Amino acid sequence: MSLGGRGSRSIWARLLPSGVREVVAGDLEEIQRRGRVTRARFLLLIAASVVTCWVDALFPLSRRDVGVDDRRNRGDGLMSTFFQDIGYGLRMMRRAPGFTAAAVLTIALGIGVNTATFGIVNVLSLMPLNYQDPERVAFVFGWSQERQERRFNLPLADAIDIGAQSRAFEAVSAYAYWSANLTGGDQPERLQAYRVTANTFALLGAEASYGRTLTPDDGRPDAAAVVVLSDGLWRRRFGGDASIVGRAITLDGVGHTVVGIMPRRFEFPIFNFKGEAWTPLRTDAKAGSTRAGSPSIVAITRLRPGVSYRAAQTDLDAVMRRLEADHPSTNRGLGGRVLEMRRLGEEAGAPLALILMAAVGMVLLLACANVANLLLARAVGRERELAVRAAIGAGRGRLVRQLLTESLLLAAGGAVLGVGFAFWALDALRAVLPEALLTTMPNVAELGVDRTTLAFAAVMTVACAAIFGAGPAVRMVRTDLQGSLKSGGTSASAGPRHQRLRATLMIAQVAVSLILLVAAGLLIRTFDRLQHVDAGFTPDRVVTMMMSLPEYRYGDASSHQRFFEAALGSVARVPGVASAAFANVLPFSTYNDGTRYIVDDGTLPEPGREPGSDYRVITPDYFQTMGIPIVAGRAFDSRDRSATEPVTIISEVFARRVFGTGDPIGKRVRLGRRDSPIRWLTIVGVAGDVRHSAITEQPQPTLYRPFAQAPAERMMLAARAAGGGEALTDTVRAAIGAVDPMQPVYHVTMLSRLVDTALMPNAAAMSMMSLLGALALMLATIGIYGVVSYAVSQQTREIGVRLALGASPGDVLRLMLRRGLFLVLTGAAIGVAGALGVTRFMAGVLYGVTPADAPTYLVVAAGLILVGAAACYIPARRAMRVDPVTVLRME
Amino acid sequence: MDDRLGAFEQLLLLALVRLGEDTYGVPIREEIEARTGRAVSPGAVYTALDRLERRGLVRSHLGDPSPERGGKRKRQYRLTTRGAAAIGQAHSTLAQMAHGLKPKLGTP
Repeated sequence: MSLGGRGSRSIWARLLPSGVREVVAGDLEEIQRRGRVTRARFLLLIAASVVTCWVDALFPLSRRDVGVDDRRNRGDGLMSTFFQDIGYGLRMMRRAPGFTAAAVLTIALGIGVNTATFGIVNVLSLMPLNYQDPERVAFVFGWSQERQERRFNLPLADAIDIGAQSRAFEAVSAYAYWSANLTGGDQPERLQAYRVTANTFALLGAEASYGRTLTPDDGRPDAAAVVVLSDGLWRRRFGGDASIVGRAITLDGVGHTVVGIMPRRFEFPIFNFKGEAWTPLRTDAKAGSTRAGSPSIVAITRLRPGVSYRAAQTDLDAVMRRLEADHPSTNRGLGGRVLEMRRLGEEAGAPLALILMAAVGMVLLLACANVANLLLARAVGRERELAVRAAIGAGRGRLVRQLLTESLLLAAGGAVLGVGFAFWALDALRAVLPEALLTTMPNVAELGVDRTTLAFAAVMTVACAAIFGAGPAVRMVRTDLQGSLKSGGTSASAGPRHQRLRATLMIAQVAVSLILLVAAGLLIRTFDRLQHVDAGFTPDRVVTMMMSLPEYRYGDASSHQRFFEAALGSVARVPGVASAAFANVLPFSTYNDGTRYIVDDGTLPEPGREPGSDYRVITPDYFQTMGIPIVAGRAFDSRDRSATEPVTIISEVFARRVFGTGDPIGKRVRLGRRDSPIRWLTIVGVAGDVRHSAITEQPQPTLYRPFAQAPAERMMLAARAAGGGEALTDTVRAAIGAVDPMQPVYHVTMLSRLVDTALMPNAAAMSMMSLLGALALMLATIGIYGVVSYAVSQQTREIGVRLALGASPGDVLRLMLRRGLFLVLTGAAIGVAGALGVTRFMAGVLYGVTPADAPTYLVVAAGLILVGAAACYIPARRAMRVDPVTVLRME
Repeated sequence: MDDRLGAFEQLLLLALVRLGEDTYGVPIREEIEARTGRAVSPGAVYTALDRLERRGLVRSHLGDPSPERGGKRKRQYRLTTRGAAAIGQAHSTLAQMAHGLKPKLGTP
């Protein structure tokens, strides 16, 4: 057992610094062998030795002073002089509190915004998905060869065949959105539930935190109904009670046995509503034989180890071609695309994230330039000190090291404050994250300062210190220190070389802030344009919510019709509701629905080449409620019943694309493919175009059908308030509850909020960039002010002489202003050129404005020059007030 | 060269004088502990001796390993001339200052 045993001996010995380990451990061991100490005392001796030796190794005591190169001690130098440098640096910082505060705060600002922004980027695009080997987990999307466009969904039959035939994939699983009604508690609730193939959890490599996940047996057609719950649902609805595992809950009226609870960080699927409950998607063995009716699913896969995405794509292409040849009627024109799961998020957010990272990087550079300026100004004061130290034997390398250590201390001080700021800012941000992000983006709940972010901040800190410290340090050491000692310490640094460095810094600052301000300006104009885009409907004061009738209570079309018509009547009677309608999907709801169609013009498209259109099922007052104009013909009305002539309304784009300038009213179309049952629909009206999923997209061709002729079980309500709006939400909800208290409604929100959510990335980018632009302007202003006022103070003598020789104060003012303004204008010119080059990369995130938008450049440049001139004017006026007599007497 | 010594350094040097040539950590520690009742860790002994060596007051070399040390070598120390002078100086300084003060200090 004993501490002297051969096995354990090495353990404590290893606690000692390597340089002293053998000797000290030997001593300790010998003491123990002699057996004159108790066990407790021996432990104390070990502890004391470890502490003493480490303290000695890390903080070697020395009476030698900074800068004196003690050759006898060269060997143990680096570490001990480093600590000396730190001690000395801290003393210097304490001695100049104003300088220190200014530098530390400036760096804190730069590192703070960088760390916070990085924290966001980290969560949105760097943090790995919480699956096993997530880089091998991918989507398998469909690909329309005709439209050269990705399709999110695939038929289940194809997913199964891909899994069976592909050599690149370990497995293929599928999920389908379900959204089940959970009953049995106080209030019915709508869950974001998914049916997933039984191999899904194994494919993801995810384990349950209680119970189990799904097994292959659960996927059999005759298996008992089971469900796996998310951590969130389990805590919210079942109080985090683990005994729920094994008990049954009621989903859509059917008892499901809870078999497992997933861990908190398990999120699936992502970039769609995150699931709260998962049940097995049953896959019949004969799924392949009934391809036409195969349900639409989203396919995911795991690549075999070592298989590249390129190889996987080639393999998938081959499989899809084979399926196309085997099943021409369903698979003609259908290809596949494999995409690493993580990448789907990057497609959405990466351009903006990159632009923001670049922008915060520039702000950091500006901050560094300001600190470098401060250091240069201070260098003048310290020249004598450094000269003395060089004179008594400090090498140049040693002095540079000392100066760099001081820079590092300033940067570290700034970093501590900056990271503190980032902690606070990200916490605040996490509290106000919009629902749309929380329910779809992976890892977003983890937003904060994690280890990656801290490492980033550390790298930034060192980089900062190098950037703002290196220039001044090298510059200072290169100056003629002997000369400066002789001249009594006045301003060798004020010489032309120093001035040039400061002028260069100032020009760079002006240029960089101009670029940032132009970027901000372009984003502001983009946002303004976006807000004035006519989406084709009026989103104000419209309450929306969604309901989905479960099959076990509403089994057929007529029951759907009865419920929604009763609900509509009930909502319409709510005081304050101006008009109300149901639609299968509403604009900006993130849902969409589409159809194939064939026009009745005597021709038939090739099989698989039937054109597609967005598809809407609506109740009669939809156009009126949404504020969508009817541009020709009529809207649906109460005449359009299931027994009357089947009718449809088309959108303007549809009309133009299919009928050109001809009149579409009275023409006929049918839905589906060539071999679908023929049921002609007569076009009775043309409606205005609507932008459905993004304000920047072109309106898609759209077919509308009356709900009475095409009832569905899942509908969205739009209720326009006469005034107010949000206040109506609860009464509208109650009106639907009055029709069926068991029926949950969900996605309750204002239509305008849905539109705002779609604009959120733009709004966020605009506000961020404006903030950064403002910071840049502030930093540049401080920089300009610093440079000019320093120049004035250095040239007091010259100014005095000029004034004495008869120059008017106005002349002096003009002289000083001219110099400052020259630098500002040079910086602005370089900035304009730079902005023209850099903003090209922003083209993808701009809308309605070109990267070279002249008004933006003009306004920004004029504004910056004006601010720059003001920053020059204040110190220049001081020059004007110089009293020549005083100055000359000082000579 | 200024060879001022801290109190612990004086104890170490006196122990070296007492123990003679080429002694090492364990006996030094025991000597100090036996005479002063002050508990000292091997780590403290070693780091202080190391410092004294860098100041040229003691000299050391690595000695032989022994089984009771688990096969680890010991570092053996001896006083340099300068070290002897320094401890002599320190002792006499103290003695001069303390001369005739015994009754006032109240120590035996």
